[in-house]
Amino acid sequence: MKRLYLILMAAIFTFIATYGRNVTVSATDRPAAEVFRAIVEQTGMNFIYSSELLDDMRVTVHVTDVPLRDALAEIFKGTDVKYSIKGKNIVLKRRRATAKLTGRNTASTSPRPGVMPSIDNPEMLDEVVVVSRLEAPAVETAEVGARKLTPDDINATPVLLGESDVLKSLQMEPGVSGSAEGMAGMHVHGGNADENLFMIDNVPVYQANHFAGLFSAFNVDAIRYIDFFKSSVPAKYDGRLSSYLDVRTKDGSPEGHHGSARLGLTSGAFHIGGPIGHKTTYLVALRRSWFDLVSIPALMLVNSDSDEKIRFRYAFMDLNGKVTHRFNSRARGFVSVYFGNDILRTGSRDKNVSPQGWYENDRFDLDWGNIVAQGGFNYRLRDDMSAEFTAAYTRFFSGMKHDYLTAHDYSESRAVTRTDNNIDDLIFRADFDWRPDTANRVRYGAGYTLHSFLPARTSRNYSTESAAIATRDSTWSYTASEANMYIEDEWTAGSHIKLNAGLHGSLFSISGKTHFGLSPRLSASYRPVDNMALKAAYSHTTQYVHQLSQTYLSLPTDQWVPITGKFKPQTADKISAGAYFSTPDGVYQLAAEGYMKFMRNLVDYRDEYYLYPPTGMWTSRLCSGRGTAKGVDLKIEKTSGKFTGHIAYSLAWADRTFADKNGGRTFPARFDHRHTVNILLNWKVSGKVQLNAAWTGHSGSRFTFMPQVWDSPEIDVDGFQDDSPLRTTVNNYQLPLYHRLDLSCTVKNRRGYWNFGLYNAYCHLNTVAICRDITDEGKPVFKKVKMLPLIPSISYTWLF
Amino acid sequence: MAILKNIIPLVLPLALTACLEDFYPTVDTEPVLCVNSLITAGGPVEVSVTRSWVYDSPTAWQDRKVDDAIVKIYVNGDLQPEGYIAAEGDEIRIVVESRRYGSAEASVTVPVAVAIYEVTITPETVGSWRDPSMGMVGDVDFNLYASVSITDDAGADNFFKLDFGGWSAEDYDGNNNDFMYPHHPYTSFRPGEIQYDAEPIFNEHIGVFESVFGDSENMFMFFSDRQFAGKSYNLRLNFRDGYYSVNTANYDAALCDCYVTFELATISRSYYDRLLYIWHRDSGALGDMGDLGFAEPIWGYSNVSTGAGVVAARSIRTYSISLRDYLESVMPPL
Repeated sequence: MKRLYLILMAAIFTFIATYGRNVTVSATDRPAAEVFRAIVEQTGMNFIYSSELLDDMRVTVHVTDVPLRDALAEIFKGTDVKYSIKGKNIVLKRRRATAKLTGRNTASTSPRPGVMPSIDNPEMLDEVVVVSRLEAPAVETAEVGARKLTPDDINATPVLLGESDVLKSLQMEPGVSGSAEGMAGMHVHGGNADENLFMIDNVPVYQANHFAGLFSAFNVDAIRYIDFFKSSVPAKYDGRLSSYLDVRTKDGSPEGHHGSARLGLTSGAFHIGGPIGHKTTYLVALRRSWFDLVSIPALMLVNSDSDEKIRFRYAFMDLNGKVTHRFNSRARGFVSVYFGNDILRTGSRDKNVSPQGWYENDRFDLDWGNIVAQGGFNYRLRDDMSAEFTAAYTRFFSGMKHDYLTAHDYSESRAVTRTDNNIDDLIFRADFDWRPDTANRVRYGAGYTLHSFLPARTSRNYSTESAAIATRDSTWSYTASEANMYIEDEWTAGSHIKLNAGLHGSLFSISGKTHFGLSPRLSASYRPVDNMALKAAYSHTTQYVHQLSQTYLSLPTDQWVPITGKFKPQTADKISAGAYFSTPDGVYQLAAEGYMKFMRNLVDYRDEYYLYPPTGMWTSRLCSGRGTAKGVDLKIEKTSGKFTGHIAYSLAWADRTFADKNGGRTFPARFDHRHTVNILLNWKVSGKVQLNAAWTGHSGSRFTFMPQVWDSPEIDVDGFQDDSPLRTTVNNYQLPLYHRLDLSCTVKNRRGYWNFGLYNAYCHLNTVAICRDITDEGKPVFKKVKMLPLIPSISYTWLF
Repeated sequence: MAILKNIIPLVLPLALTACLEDFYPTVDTEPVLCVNSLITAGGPVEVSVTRSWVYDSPTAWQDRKVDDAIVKIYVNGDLQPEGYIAAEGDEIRIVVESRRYGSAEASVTVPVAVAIYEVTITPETVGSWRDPSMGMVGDVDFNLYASVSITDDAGADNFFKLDFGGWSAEDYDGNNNDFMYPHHPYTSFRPGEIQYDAEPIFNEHIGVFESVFGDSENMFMFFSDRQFAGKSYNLRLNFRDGYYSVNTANYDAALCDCYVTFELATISRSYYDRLLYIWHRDSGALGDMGDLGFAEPIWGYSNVSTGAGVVAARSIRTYSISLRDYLESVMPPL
């Protein structure tokens, strides 16, 4: 059966394939990376090496239709670089001083523009290795709106409190908006925050944030690279409408035990990796906040002179662990675990019984986070085919408990409310990567996920000395089965055209109902000249789960719920096109992308949803509708040299239409930022000092501003009356222009480096809302709510 | 401690601060009619007509009165003359017209009252004191466990608001300035504080988000029949820290004649929704989150066509139960 399948695959794709390893290269004093790209295009081979290896090496070579080995021999003649061809990879090494290729030094390098994958450990390249599909510059790929991020890229983006953050780095990309001031949530091309699929090694992570979204859940120390897709989506991915972010974790170094320890204002982090024997490596990365170390003494001071003891403790932590084992040259396996957790303990209690005989103890205990555990096995079936088998378990959990004890003289009562919200996914998947010839690369696979949803289960217990009452909501738990298959072919049709066509099919079965989703993908690239490409893409995406959030923050009360009842799976059709230009040396890159996105069956809270009881189905509070988004993203990037960085501009529109929201009229999305400019500059002042600056400015967010009020009726309780705001259209008002400058400086020394940061360096407090207030004279007045002043940060990282 | 001394100044600036700045927006809005009316079965219909105004307008608040309003009341489709008394089951439509501010209308059906058909109370003495030398001087601390039974009408979506009170038949007031012991006896009685958490139905409007980020204060008891539509339901009402005090030289059992009264208002959907809005605004988290830009602001609930005002109705039944037997047992003749 397997053979039949492979034959069928071959029959489909090989009729268009060509195969040949003879190459023609003509270059005089050109950068080596440029010459490599010419060979890649002709052979489909990958070049793999440390970027330090070439050191601005320039190449002069003139060969016509010669075997690949001859061409390589000519290129490296007279250099200290040796090459070897292993499968589809051309591995380059230095003839001497091979230590420069491995270990910590290589891990910190970034690939040069236009070169093929550079990975941590070239010694292991004869096996199947997971490399980013976005290594090549944009002019060479078929994808539109794709971006690869490395830890260096992330660390070079100044952020709030100096905590390097994947999501905040992505907010500097055109087409990506933040969710709230200083927060890590994001809206991509007019999509909602829950329309982004966050993954660790291709396994979903539902809660991608800590501390209400102030920090993302991804510890940069454990990251090897990140693939981010916002327009054309590889067929492998589906399940979200707007973007896909796959965080690939590091393997430990086989050369020795290396790591780092960092202490910053908000957290400390430690990571270490190394070999276990000859074939196994490990990596452990731990990060933990230490707000609680500050809050404990602060609260001691506050509580020392008070009749009540205030309780507050917040902490987050995340732990990444990975063990990788090389069975042989063809097989490699790994097991990894991620555990991210936030805890919040708050409340207050009387220190003593009051003179009136009262005593109170009020406690809130909140725990929420993720667990991801997975095992993967990579196997090279043939020289032209590799496979990856994955079994994974991912769990999102959120538990909230309120314990309120009150006592008076002889009586005592206690009310305990507990709410749990969980998702458990069991995932099994097989992915294949097949290169039937140099012109085609076929990726295909299948997977099954067993979802268990527990959106909310609340129990309430009330007890006194002589009575006890316990109630529990009906348990809304759902089990859903999701199966999917995909196939895509990346076809290099000659030297000018590249196509990527794929299809992702999925079945989602819940409550006796099965939804079927078929998501076609297509992207095409035309290169009229070597350093220019014109691209177009279409993608259809399907989403079966969505997040219910009553705020713009990332809170433990947010509930992930499946599509059920009258609601249909959310879908989006996106058409995008772009023009890409790269200077001959690859230093400057220009991208202009346009897109139109049509979203259907979107889910949102309806008008006055709070009037619908939480005791009923959550669906009663929701409504279904559609959304559109369109825009243009421009980006100019300088990728090497002392100065690097980019300037990005976005022109965007995003709106929503729901039958039961805003009276059925179309309204702009909150993050409908018409103009956005992001500037990121990195200046390597010397080998030890680097300065980073990030400026962002965008049209103000949309806000539902209610200027009028009316007399409240006399039915309001306790004789208390307040003016009631008069309803208006949703998001009718645009807040003032948002802008901010963040700075950071990295200073290296012998053992590590310091990082100094300034968030909002010129202290422009941005308006996030408009509220009603009363002046000291009793006059009603509107107030702008402005947040986040200049915030400095400092951290030190010790490398070992 | 030296480390701590150095860290605190570094950390303090990190406090995520917000500031408020006066803002005078230029907005182009037109005032609309605001119609408020609370109709009680058995009473006349009173309608308050005002207009909306821009919140920070220095004069509009004073000028919110509407002088040229014409109010028409339709009952079951018929225009009513003055003197109409609202009856249970009546569908009342209020139409207001103003040449200056346009028109507004709202409808409400006066609900058919659901009565309390039984109340049982189990007192629990938690402390008492008695002056053995006097006829009737002492006090009692008690808890009350009440079961209030109602039967919902089938076929109607009912909403309720429950209130309670305590009074003593003799109604002596201990706060009287003329009080001079022992010539002027007094009693003091209060049933205690209701424990909202003891009755789950009082929390039916509180979801996960509200229970965590909202205020634990319930403020008032309102609920719906969603969970017992067409059936009977026993409300469990726990009162804590009830108190009875009596002070008279001569024993008088009539001074133990104290009552707990329950008032069950069957309220219109608009009344219930208004209470929900108030709860979410003041005790839930949506009000504060919306003000800070972390959630969508919520507007004032209204069932009037202009979006301003509430026309609501209610029908009330009361039920009183005496605690005389219990208090006599605690405070018997010497």
